[in-house]
Amino acid sequence: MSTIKSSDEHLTLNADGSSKDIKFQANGVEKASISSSGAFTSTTIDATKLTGALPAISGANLTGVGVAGISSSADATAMTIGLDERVAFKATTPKADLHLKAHNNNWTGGMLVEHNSGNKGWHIHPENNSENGLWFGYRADTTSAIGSESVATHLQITSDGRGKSQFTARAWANYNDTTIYDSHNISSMTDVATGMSYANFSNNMANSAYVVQATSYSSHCDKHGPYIADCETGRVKILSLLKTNCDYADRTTHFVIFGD
Amino acid sequence: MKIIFEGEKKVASVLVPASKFLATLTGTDEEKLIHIANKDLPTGTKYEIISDSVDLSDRTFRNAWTYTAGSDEKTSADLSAEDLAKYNMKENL
Repeated sequence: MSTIKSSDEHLTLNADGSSKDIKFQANGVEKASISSSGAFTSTTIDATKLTGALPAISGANLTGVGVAGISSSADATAMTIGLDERVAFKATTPKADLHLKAHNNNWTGGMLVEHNSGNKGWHIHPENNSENGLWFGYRADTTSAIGSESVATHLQITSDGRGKSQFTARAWANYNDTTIYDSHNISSMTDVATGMSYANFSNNMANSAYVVQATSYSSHCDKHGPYIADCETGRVKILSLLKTNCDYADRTTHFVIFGD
Repeated sequence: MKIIFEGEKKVASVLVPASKFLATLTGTDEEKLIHIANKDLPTGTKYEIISDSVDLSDRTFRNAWTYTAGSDEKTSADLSAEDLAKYNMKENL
């Protein structure tokens, strides 16, 4: 084996003359060179030997890295693709196939699904409050800057499974005197007297101007119907009234409530 | 279990907890009923917790039922501010 080495001093290889390169050959074939301008060229580079940071270079000539069609102005990690091929936005470790972590607790923290024209669309936002809900809202103008957006809330789904909107039932139940067959957003029913009960809400209504739709039935051939009284934010009184004598009777009753 | 207390016109009322709401609470069954009493009864209401085995099916004289204090009578208390917010309640009953 032959070695070119210095003895405790710099080793200089000098290609004399203008525009002359320093060339490295193996078995008579050039494998690498350093041009007169300082450009290093090699037939291959063992990437496992590389350390340190890449310099600020253009990636325009990179191939095989799937960057076509992607542009970025980020100066910090915005998207992470895990070893399991799951993708996270903002989050550092994907916890689902698509993991989106909100930047902030405003409408722009989440997803904007924009119409194909007209600068309008829908926001989906995980609201970070006591209800930890998922909010859906319509944005009539998507040209406004982040922080200046105006979004109309149309549906909130709370973490305890309630839907808050003008078109989702706030509460419902199927009961008969001291038996609750099934219910939603009802903490308890209070059997007050014959044909008379209070439905106590798990989560109170915002006001008492809500709508109660109720019906009752029995195996009897009498004429009767539910009667709604005392709508309060925390409860509503429901009575089952006989048409024949205006007296009350125990009847299996169904009701559903819409409102704020 | 259910809760009985003196209701309107001194007729005994029976408060029946909703099973789905009970499932959201922690603690023993009695602790869950006490929480519901604090939530759904006005503060200071005297009540008792009764077993589901108590037969309330004969309602012939329902409007004549009266509440009589027993040995384990309890009194409903205020909810915490945290619970009031949780239930969207502005104040205790």
